[in-house]
Amino acid sequence: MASTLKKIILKSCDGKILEVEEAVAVQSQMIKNMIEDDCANEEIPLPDITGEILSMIIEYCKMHVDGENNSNNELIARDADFITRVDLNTLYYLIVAANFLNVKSLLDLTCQRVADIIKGKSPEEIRLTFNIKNDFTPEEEEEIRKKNAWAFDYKD
Amino acid sequence: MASLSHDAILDVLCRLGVKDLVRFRCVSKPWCSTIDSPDFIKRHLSHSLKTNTNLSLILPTAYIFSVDFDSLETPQRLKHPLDESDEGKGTDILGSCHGLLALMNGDDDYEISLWNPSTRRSQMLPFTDIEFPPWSIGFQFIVYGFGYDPISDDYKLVRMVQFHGKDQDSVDSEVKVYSLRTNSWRRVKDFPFYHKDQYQIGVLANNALHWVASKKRLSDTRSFVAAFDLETEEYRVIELPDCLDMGFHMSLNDMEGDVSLVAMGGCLCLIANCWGAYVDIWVMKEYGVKESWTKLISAKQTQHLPTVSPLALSKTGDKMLLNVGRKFIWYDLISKKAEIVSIGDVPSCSRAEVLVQSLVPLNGSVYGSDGESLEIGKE
Repeated sequence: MASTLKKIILKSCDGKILEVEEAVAVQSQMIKNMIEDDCANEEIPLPDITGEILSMIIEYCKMHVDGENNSNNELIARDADFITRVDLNTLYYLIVAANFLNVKSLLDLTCQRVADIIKGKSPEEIRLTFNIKNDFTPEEEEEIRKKNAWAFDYKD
Repeated sequence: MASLSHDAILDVLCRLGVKDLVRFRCVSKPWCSTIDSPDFIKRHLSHSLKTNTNLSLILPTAYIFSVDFDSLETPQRLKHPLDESDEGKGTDILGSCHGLLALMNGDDDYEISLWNPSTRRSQMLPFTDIEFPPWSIGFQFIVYGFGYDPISDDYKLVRMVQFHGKDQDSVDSEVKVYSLRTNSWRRVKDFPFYHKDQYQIGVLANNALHWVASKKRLSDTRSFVAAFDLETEEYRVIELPDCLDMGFHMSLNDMEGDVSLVAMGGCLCLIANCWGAYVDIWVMKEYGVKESWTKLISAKQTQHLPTVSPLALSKTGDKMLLNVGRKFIWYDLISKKAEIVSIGDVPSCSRAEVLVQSLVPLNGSVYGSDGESLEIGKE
């Protein structure tokens, strides 16, 4: 039976080829559109997505297809289990890929995870986390801090 | 290391609370201008509204308390812009919309302030006169309402003064609208009906404010909901459920009773309180459609039972937070079971506002930048 299911062939930027069942692949709105437009009969090259990230995304989509009949709470628990295993750097790549492939629920999950990680952090920690250069002069920064001193009184 | 696109950063930031965002303004200049931009403020607000996150329950008692809506634990007393005297003489909340509260002092000076408790900014409203009709020597009462007009992207506070009319049966009114965008008042069309309840704050739903009204004061007292459309600034009538009218007016003859309105999850909600007999809570599931009024709760009362007022719907919409006498109760709309909740040491209050924490800006300076919100029991 399984062999009669239509497979979609995806090619990562580092040359990995992955065969995915159509039901799993259409979790990506982008691939779904390609199938509807009859453009998915040959392998689909995915620039900017590595094989490792692509496998993770397929694992996520498969989990959602297999879990279709599960309760909402079970799915939430599975999502949480999936996302807490991912480190921050991988999260960034997942966000870029989820955005490109247009997997809405994965984009929500990954962005929410990053938000949960940076909640309650200091501006210095944020700069480190996102590799952001502080372009304020010390005077300018002090001025902003003074104006909203209450927001800097926090514990996480 | 990968870096996120601007759009992905926005998608992450719109999931944070206001305090985090105010702090993250000093991460860098681009972050600061992103967080301050009207587009981001709207995106953050709509994400919170869509996902029912960043919610607080605001409990006005002699003081104003705030408690996280998810946990309902550790309520905090908030220092607000009309709380200078710190005497707790009672500040009225005239309305709440998109994280802004309209406040008025309990005494007679009619000072009104808009306040965003999440950013701690506030703005005093300019004073505006009451224009009396020539035959009127005084007014009966003033009602207020506060809401948002998406067409002009403006927050509006509505003040309706109800005057004694030329004869016993009639009333006159003066209606003025304050616009936050222009920071000024202007007079609009008079209210064509009779306000039945002087303590009713305009209930916001579907970009309109609502009050219980009747056509006349004595000769046509049938209740309906009068709406003031914040976009068109026109009035319209929303009918109450038929069966309510019947039962309600039959009992009105020999017992005291009233109907009042609240908004729940964006829907109009009606409390038909026939004192000592029953309390019915109705919800208008489809705005403006009379047939969509649905009775959610019907509770028998005895003379000794306290009043019941609905405060808020739970996140998932299957439970309703009720204020019953001095207690707060979660009422499960499906299993019809009630569960008492304690919200710290907050005194009982008959009203509550669910406030979505937002970055919606006010022009005034930061209020209480050094004065932290006070924890209960700590002075």
